[in-house]
Amino acid sequence: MKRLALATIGFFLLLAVLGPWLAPYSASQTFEGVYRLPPLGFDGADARFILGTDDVGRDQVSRLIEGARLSLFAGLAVTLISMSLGVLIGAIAGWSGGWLESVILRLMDTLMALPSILLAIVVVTILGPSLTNAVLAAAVTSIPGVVRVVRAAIAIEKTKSYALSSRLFGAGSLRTVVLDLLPNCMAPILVQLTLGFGDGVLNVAALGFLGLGARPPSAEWGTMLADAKGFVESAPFLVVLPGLCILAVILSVNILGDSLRDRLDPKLRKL
Amino acid sequence: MRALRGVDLEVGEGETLAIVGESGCGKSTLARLLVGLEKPDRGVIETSESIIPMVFQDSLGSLHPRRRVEQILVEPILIREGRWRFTPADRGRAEAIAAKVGITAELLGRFPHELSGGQRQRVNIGRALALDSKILVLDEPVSALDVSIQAQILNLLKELQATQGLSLIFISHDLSVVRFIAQRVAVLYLGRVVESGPAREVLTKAQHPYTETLLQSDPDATDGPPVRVVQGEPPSPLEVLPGCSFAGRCPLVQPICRTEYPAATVRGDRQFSCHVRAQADGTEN
Repeated sequence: MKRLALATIGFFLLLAVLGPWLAPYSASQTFEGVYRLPPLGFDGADARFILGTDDVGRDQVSRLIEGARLSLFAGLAVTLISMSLGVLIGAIAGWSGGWLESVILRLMDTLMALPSILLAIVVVTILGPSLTNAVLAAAVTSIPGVVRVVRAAIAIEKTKSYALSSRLFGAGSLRTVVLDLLPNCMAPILVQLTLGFGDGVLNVAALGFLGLGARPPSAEWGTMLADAKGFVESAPFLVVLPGLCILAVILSVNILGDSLRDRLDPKLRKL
Repeated sequence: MRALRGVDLEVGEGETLAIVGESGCGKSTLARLLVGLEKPDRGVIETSESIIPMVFQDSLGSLHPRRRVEQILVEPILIREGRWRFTPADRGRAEAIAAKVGITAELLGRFPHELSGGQRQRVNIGRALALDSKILVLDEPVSALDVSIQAQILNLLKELQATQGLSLIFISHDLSVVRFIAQRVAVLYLGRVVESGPAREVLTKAQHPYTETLLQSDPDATDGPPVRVVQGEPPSPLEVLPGCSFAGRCPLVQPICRTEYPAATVRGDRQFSCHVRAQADGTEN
């Protein structure tokens, strides 16, 4: 299961990185007269288009590869932003304790109380729909989770005697947090990072589907789904293929995250 | 709540002061106060040193799990010099410190979890002495070790004390360890020093009834007569009762013990706080 998940992630990453060289056509190139062709093996398929074409005659393979690039890099960007801010805020909360910690945690509780997609919609409404803004919105929604995990880990580590002993020798807060505490909080942070990547991909796709993320003619998977939703009955593969890609990536990432969690620290199951 | 009250201690150069008492009497709080991990509500701690290192009971937990022994040993130096990274140039210093505490060179590249308990405690002591401190606080440094390893660590401490004029504040509940290492003893009961003085005298001719019961409950000290165990539990530090804090468990208790805390009786370099013994002492002299 883990191997399959790893292989799937690897496959999509490869597509994302080598996309421009692997794709048979450009994602925006349209072909005359070949609209909504099914994949090979179905009636009316065309050998030039392995997975068929969409409603304006663009090659599905090329679009899905381009989509892998957009979606995975969007997920990566979400993870990077939410991780860097989340670790920073979480470390400050966990280290400082006291009123600052309470203020930060209540703020994060407030963010968590809103359904994440609703929160993302609010952010996109303010910033305007685009892939970049969808990434920012998804990042904002995943920050609270990171903050809580990091805060909890730092709060536990800071009472351990190795951290106390650093303080004894006069180590400043920054030094203690960066050199002593954070390296020992890597297990939960790594797990959160993996799971956060999956959430990032999913949220960006969801926003794309709602028309709040990448705009057509972008080949972002969620946007592709939205484009194709009118053809669910006449050309179901237009919906099924990008949907399957999203499913495969999210499922694999979550399986990886879970096994990482189990391997790094069985106690984390409770978090 | 006040974990400690009216504690007045002194440790001379090259001397070992042991602080003994049962769990919950404030030993660890005292240690944390001494090294500055906690601030006293009132009172002062005066030392000639700005940094007082401490060795913790948990030898594994007090070492950074992801650093090698050589890095751990010179970490205090790096902190003092404001450097964040261990450089190969620091290896020489790590070796010098390791040699002082009997860590062989091949252990320098290991991680704490790859060491035995005794080796880890040596690393802890080595790090504590990296800045050439003259005073060292040890909070139950050998309680988690095997008896044979305990002896090695205690001998190491004695040796370091002899060669470097180190003053030790040694917190322990193990009287045989205290007997071995300490010149002076302070007995802590519920946050107060009830008796203090030279180790040899306090541990053989206790004045305070609490010290007596403590000695009698130590199987090593009694050959033959049945072990007498202190009756009951110590009162909660949360409810402050007037009078002597040991009154509720004391075999010698008098009415005055329940109303008034006994002032310290000073006899030469010994000191104790007990109404009954102070009277007896007074009539004898």
